[in-house]
This record gives sequence, C-alpha cells and structure tokens, in this order.
Amino acid sequence: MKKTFLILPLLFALFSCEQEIDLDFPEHEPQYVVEGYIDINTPPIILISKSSSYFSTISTDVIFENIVQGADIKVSDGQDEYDLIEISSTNLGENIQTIEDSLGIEFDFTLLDELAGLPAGTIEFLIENGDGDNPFIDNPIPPFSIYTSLELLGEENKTYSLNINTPDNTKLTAETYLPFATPVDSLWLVPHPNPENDTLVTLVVRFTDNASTNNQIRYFTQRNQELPSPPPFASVLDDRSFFNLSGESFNFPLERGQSLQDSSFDFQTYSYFHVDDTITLRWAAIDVPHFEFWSTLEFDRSQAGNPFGRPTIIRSNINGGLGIWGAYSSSFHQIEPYSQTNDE
Amino acid sequence: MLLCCLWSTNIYAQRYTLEGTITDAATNEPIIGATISIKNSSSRTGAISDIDGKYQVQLKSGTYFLNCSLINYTPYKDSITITGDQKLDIVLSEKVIQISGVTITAERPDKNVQSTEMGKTTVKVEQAQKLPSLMGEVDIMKTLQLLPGVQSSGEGTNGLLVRGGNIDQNLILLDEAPIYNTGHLFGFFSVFNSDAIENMTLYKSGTPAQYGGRLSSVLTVDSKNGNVDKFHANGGIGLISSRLTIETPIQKGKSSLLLSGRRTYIDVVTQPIVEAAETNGIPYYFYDLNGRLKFKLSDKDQLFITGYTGKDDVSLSVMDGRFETSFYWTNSALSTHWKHTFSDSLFLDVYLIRNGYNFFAEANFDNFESTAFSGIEGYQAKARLKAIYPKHELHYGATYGYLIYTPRDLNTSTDDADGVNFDADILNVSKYNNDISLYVHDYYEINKKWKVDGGLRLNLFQHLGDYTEIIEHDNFQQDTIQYGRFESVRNFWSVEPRAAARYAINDSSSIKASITYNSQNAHLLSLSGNALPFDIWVPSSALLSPQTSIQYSAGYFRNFKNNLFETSIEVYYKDFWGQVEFGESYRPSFTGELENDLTIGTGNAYGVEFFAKKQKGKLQGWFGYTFAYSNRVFDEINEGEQFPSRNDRRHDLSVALTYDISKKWSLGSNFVYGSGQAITIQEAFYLVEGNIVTKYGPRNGFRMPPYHRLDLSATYTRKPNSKKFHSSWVFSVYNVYNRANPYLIYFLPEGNLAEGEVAVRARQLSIFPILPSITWNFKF
Repeated sequence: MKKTFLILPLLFALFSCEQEIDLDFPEHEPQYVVEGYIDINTPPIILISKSSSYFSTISTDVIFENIVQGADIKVSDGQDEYDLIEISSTNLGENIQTIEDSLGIEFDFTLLDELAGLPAGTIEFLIENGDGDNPFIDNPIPPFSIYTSLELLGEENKTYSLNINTPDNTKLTAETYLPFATPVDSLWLVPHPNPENDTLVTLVVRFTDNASTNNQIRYFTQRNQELPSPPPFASVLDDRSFFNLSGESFNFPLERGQSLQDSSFDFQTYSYFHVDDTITLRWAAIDVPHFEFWSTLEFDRSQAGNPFGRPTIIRSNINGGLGIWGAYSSSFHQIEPYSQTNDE
Repeated sequence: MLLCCLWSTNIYAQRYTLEGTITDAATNEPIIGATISIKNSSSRTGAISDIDGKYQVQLKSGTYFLNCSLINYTPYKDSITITGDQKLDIVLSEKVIQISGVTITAERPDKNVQSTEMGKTTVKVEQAQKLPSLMGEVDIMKTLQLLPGVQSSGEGTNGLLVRGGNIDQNLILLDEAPIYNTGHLFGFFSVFNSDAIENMTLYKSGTPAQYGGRLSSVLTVDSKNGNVDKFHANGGIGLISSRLTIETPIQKGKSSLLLSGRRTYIDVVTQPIVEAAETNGIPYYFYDLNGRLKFKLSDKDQLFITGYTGKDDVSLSVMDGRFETSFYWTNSALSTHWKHTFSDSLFLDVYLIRNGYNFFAEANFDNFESTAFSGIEGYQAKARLKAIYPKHELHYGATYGYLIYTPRDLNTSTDDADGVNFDADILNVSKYNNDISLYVHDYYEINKKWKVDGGLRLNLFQHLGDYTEIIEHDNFQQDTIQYGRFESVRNFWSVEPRAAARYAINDSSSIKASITYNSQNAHLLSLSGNALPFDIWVPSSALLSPQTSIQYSAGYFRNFKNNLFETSIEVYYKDFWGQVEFGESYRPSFTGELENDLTIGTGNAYGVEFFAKKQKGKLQGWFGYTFAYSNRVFDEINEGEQFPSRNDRRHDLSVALTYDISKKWSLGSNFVYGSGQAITIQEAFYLVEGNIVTKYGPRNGFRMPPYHRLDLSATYTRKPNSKKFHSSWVFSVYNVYNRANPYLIYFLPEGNLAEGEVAVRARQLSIFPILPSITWNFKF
C-alpha cells in the first residue's frame, strides 16, 4: 500500500517547497556497538565500536576512531569459557597466520573488511603490502582491533554467551543460540516474466518448514567470484509471521545479494541474477533475536529517504549496548548458470 | 337553511383567529410543545404549538393578556388587542438557567454563563463561509480547529485533535450516522459539503449520555432540510470544485427534498499543467452527494431520510504501464429519523441507520497483482425519549448496533505458473460485533444559583463469531478455538457515568465543573497519525480491549458589557487507558491479525483554555488560546518512559475575525499559531556490516519549528437586497505572508565516504505556500 503515496508527490509538486533548515540537535552520548558472529566450524569474530552523533561529520577516520581496542571478552558455550584474543591492525598478518595455524582453517579476510566497513580486499591488501599506498582508501587507516578465539568453533544446538568488559569498565552481555542447519530442498532459476529481458533470472528455493520449531533464515548469495552479500532490504525470512505455515513445503523466490556500496544499484535489475551467473547460496538458520535484529534493521533501511516512513527501532540483543551477537547455522548450495542448463 | 347557516356564521364571525409560529431565538427552529395561554377578565383559552411550532386560537374581539411559555425558555408575556384575524409569531430565548454551553452562534446572549454544559460549541455554516478557506473550499471542520482545545492533525488537514486526544477519539455523526473517515484528498478537505449542512456541534467534555463510544469528543453534523414552500437552488464554482444544491417542496407545506452535490476537477484542470506525460495530470477526483427528504406525517409525526455518499478515486499508470495502480475510498450513510410528539412534555426520536467506509486498492507490477481492501459496515437502531417535568429534563433511550469490521483483506497473485507460488491465508478477515447501550441523563435545576446534571450509559460491546482464536503456548504449541456464527467470543461491559454542576455567581458570571467517563471500542491503527485513507479501523475483540478515559474539567465564565463580550477560562485533566500504538519495531507483515503487532499503553492530557468572543456588531470574532500537555506511557515504547504524544502542542492560539464594511463587502481573517509537532528523529549512527545504521532519539523528543499562518478573505455580494437572484464573490488568500510551515522534516546525507566526508543536512518540506483563490456563489 506504500505505492498509494505516489499521488502525494504529484500533488505536492504543484504547491510544495523544500528547503534546508538549521535546527538545534540534541547531544548524543556515545554507546557501545557490538558486532559479533559465530557459525558452524568457524571461530567467533567480534568488533566493538562506538556510535556517533547522527549530525556529526562522518569520515573514514571517525569510523576507525570509533573502534574500541583493549576490551576483555569472554565467550561461553555453556560448558567452557573462552578468552578471546585481540587482533590489532598493526600486526594483522602475523595474527591471522596464528589463527590459521591454530584452527587449521583458511581465514576469510573479507569477513574483516565487512566488519570494518572497508571495501572488500582492503585488509588482505594491507596484510600483503603494509599500510602504505593502497588502492582502496586515500589515507593510512588508524589502528583498530577485532576479537576472535584460537580454540572455539561454532557447533549446532549450543547457546553462546558473550561477556565484554570495555577499557572504561562498561559491561556488555549477550546470548545467541546456534540452531540446527536447515538446508533447502532444492533451488532453480526462473526466467524474467518479460521475455524481452532474456538475460535475467530469478533464484527460487524449495524449503520444507519444520513444524516442531520456529524457523528463521538469513541468506546470502554470491555470484561467480564476487563476495557473498545479503540482499540489503530482505535478507531474513520467518516462518511464523511470513508464511503462516507449519510442516509444509513451499517455493520462494530469493533476491540477489548486493552490497549497498555497490554503485551499480539499478531497480530494473534489482534482485535478478544474470543467466551466466554461477550462484552460491549461503542459507543460515538463526534464532529469533538474531532474526529480529536484521528484520528491524533492514526495514528501517528500506524506509530511509521515505518522508512518510516512520522510525523503526532496531532490536538489539546486546545488554548495555547496541548491535548484535548472532549465531549462524549455515548450509551452502551452488547452482550452475541458467544459460548452461537451459540451452535451447 | 342556507341563509340560516350564513347567518350563524356571521354571528360567529365575531370570533377571530390568532395564529403564528413559535421559534427558538438561537436556532430559528420551530419550538414544539410551547403553551400559549390567553385570558382576560371574562374568558380564558389556550393552545400548544405543534411539530412545526404553529399554534392557533379562536378569540372574540377584545384585549387579552398573552403568556407563551415552555420549560427552559424565558416566557413571552404581552397584551394583545384582537379586532380581526391576526398573526403573531413569537420568538423564545432559552432561559437564564438552562442546558447549553459555549457557542459561537447568535444564541441567548448569556447562555455560556448560565448552562451546566462545558466545552460545547456550535458552528453555523454561515460563519464558516465568512472566514478564509484553503483554496476556497469552505470547511466547517477547519473552523472548529480555530477553537481552543481543538487542533489540526497536520497542515491543511481536517482531522481534529481535541484536548490532547487522538484523531480516532472523536465520534463524528452525520444525522446520527457515524462517519469513519472525514477526509477527502488525504485529509485536506472534509467530506462535509457546506451547502448540505446546517450546523455542527462539538462536545469537548461533559457529553450527554446519549452519545458514547469515543473518548475525546462528539461532533454532530446536522443536514439542512429542504424548503417545504418554495423551490430554491444554490451553488458555487471554485478553483478545485463546483457545488450545486436544489431544494424543492414535494407536497407544499408538508414535505421537501434537498439534493446537493460537489465534485472536484483537479484531474481535468491539471491535465495541461502537469506535464507528467505518463500520468496525464493528476488522475484524482472526489465527489459528495447528499440528499434529504422531509415528511410531515401528522401534527405529531415527522420523518426525515438522509443519504450521503462520497468517494475519492485515484488511478495511475507509470513506467510504460509496467506499474498500474488504482484505489478509492468511500463513505456512505443512510439515516431514517422518525420524530414523534406524545405530548408537550414527552418526545420520541427513532433512528434506523446504515453506514460504511471502504478502502480498496489494486496494483499491478509486471505479472504480480495485488489487491487490498479495508472497510466497516454498520447497522444501528436508536430510540430516544425526552421528558420534560418542572425543574427536570430527563433523557433516556437505547441503541443497538451490528458492525462488521474488515481491517484488511489482501490478495496477491501472479500469472507466472513457473514455480513461484505465494499465497497468504489470513485468518479472521472480518470481525463481527454487537454494540448495545442504554442511557439515562437528567438535568435538574435546584434553584437560581445551582443547576446540576447527571447521566449514566451502560454499554455492552460483543465480539461475535465467526472467529478462530489461536492461543499460543511456549514450545511452539498452539490451540485453536472455533466460534460459530453469532457466538459470543468476548463481552466488554462498560458503565459510563457523567455529571456536571453550575453555580451562578450573578447574572453575568458562573463557575462550572464536570466529570465524564468514556469507553471506546473502535481503534484506528495509523502509521502516520494523519488519518490517511489507508489507516485501518479495528474493533475491540479477543485481541484488543476497549480504550477508556476520564475527564475532569472546571471553568469560570463571564460576560461583559451586557453580553457583548463573552469570556471563559477552562481547565481540564484527562487520563487515558488502553491506548494503542504499533510497536516501535513494527514491520508490516501480510499475514496474521494486525492486533498482534500492537502495544498498549496509557496517557494523560491537561491544559487551560482561554476564550473571548464578540458576537454582535460589524466586527465579530473570537480569540482562543490553549496551554496544554498530552503524554503517553507504553511499556514497550521509549523504554517505558513517558513521552509527549503526537498531539502534544504547548501553545495554540487562534484569532478569527469578520468585519462587515457594508451590505456589499465583508472581510474575514484567521491567524493561527501552534507549537511545533513532536517527532522522533535520528540521534546517532553506527556501522553494521560496514553500512550505516540509525539509532533514533527519544520518542517524539524533537520539536518541529512552530506553525503560524495568516489567512484573509473578502466577500462581495452583488445586489444584496435582491430577492430573486443572489450572488457573491469570495476572494481568499491562504498563508498571506507565505510562511514555510513544516509538514515534514527529514535528513539527507551529503557527500561520499570513499571521497572523504559525509554530513547530514536537515530538510523541511512545506506544502502550502501563499494560495489565493476565488469562488463564485449563487442562490435563487
């Protein structure tokens, strides 16, 4: 029904006037923001930062200055408690090597880019080339830290408690449940409804709802060698409020994941894949608070710039701060390009 | 024999007829049941005025003493000499001690001081017509907004916020039929066509017990009756709409018909102006049709049938037809009113009513089709009795209503058979309700100093089947309970007392106090708070309890210079319970019942209202100022802290003036000033997945800049003394000094992070700049 507002802009076009105004804005007391994830067979990764006044000037420097170093973090899985280690940007390469050796996995540096809000590839570039001239950002980035564990890997059906003590002694706590993975039954591609758009396809999944639990999903898609991204406005699904189903199978079209920073944002091609794309789907089961966080965040994002939108308060599961401590139970699926499987 | 008869007639011709009509000084309406007693030393006779206020007596020639009286009216006493048939029309004014309140109309001059009721205001259409209006569309609801304690819900909109209450807390009755959405064009114009309306009365407090079901006010809108003697037509041509009204007798002196219509031509007029080639101008119109039949069935019975229907319609197609949408909303009301007089002290009114509100939208995007419907259908029967005793006036009656609410019925489909199926089943699309009430209200005049009234309303609101109730348990278990047709799901009983008292200090000043308790079973779910057509009404049900409120008010009323100036100071305090809001993390979902997304809270509102009015002479008008607070408390909003409601305006000032320069020219002006609206704005940002995320500040913690505006108008009447054809030009200028009042404030980031810095700039959207308009009105 949002579309019905189309008439108002038309009317306002006749009479209205828009102008920049000066207002006295309230002071903002910075709050701690936690962004932390854990997935099956993956160590926890946590970034702590501080919020800034909405009306201050934002620059890359400000963003890095807001990142909190020197926090004391513990994660418990209900049986054991793990002290997280701080990985500082000043000796990033060394630290990453330590993790890789210790856990025996190949570390995905883009996770760090994502956390730090950097263009993909920045961290890897810094590790390899130092923080001199780099193609991603103009200025050397100030020091920052992320936190992880050398021993802890996520497991299904466990609840992870997070305990943070910041350098100024602020306590932040949170809890997340890592559910059982719920892989999709199958996935396929459907051509664009308009036959003229013969290069565009929609990804459709078939999914069986588990009647005995509530199921929430967050999904990411990756095409070819691009980075996996969630669809920016609707990456989460919920069987309770959205499908009103239980124990049934259903087909559902998915949107293509896309970075908000992607300058090629185009509503004509939004959500569609290309017929030549090889697509990887990360389909992650999440718990309710984790779902609520993304659902509220993305709804608020979709309202940005809509003058008739209303504030949507983002539901955080962090006690004492903002942000999310979220567990993913990911399963991965890949589909070959439509052009290869549907040659006519 | 014939001669004999003639002779005897001649003898009796010494008896003459005295006849006339008795009318109310304030309303010009006929007074039923007034007693005329006529006596001299040798004889004594009398009569009672009938349903049309008419009386007739036969008298011999001579001089008599005449006394015309009715409870609550000042008796008319005079001596009269009869020498032949004679006509004597009598105008009665309501008594010093009687029932009424603050009024804007030319009524009994000291009425505001002498009544018990507080916060009652009647506005006549003629008054509204003299004041400036937005684009020349006379709108009585906007005139009401100029009164203290009444505010507009937003720039240019007709919604009323009464004493800190929400927009849905006003019971708006068109000839007793509830109207759910009073706005055309997203609320900029009201559905009440001024040509079809006689007057409007607003009760802000101490509402009579015959009205119930809303917390903040009752607004009764009375349709105009057609003239029973002569054919009349009037109309007007304005910038955005034209109006035509005809009145005609059906059976002369007994029955009449009034038909009135109004339609906009924004769609036609803007077509060449708006070069939005795809939409062809503004594809929008609205219309109203009002009709009223009046029949005099007998000397004691009258029948009125009123019908109203109005519609807003929009349709457009953009992106080469890829996206098409059309939507409309309609209000309709049909009210049958039988008025019966048992005696000069017992009166009956019976109403049968059918009313409805529907919103329908349809959208097609590529192959994806969706429709949305929301509506209310209501049937009501009301019986009211009024009994007049010495010192008492007793009102009692009963109402039965059956309501069908369909908050939303959504359907989506796609003709793409290739794997995409998406079907949302909604449980309980409609909710069915009984709404039953009994009431009694007595007005009692103890002595000259004291007058009191008290009323009681008993209401039963039932949620009925068909209904499927789902009870959720922990561990994902749920029980389903089925209710059959008309089976009771929930019963909400409510006992609603009210009382008022007046103490007269002297003839020109008094003190009054009142207390009113109300409940409300209709809830408007609004995301915007602006009463837009897509706001959704839901009833009290298994999922939602009634709203209730209590209001205490007191005032000092004083008139000066022989009632030339009328002044008052009123204070009020209200508590609200069961207030509904969408949760602060609400996201629209398209399945399930909307009530599940609501959160319940309480509120309070208090303030002081100053009012001064001059109602005689060339210069007339009023001044109103309100200082008020309106707060809400919800456990799940603003972390449970009290916050200012959207309706919270600290200062609200209105000045409305008219000045008659000559019989041909008159001027009008409005000035309004109001504190800025309380809104929620962004407070901070942070990063998640590298993207900027917003943290909002406290709920309604920020004030928009204040609102103020001056409007002027001038009316030129050609040949004001002409009895045949009467026409006038109304020149109106809205927002004379072109104040850019805030309609919306929003924030836009400027700059690019990759290139250095991003800063947020505040932007304000104002919708109505200086807007001159011209309207031509005629009457014959």
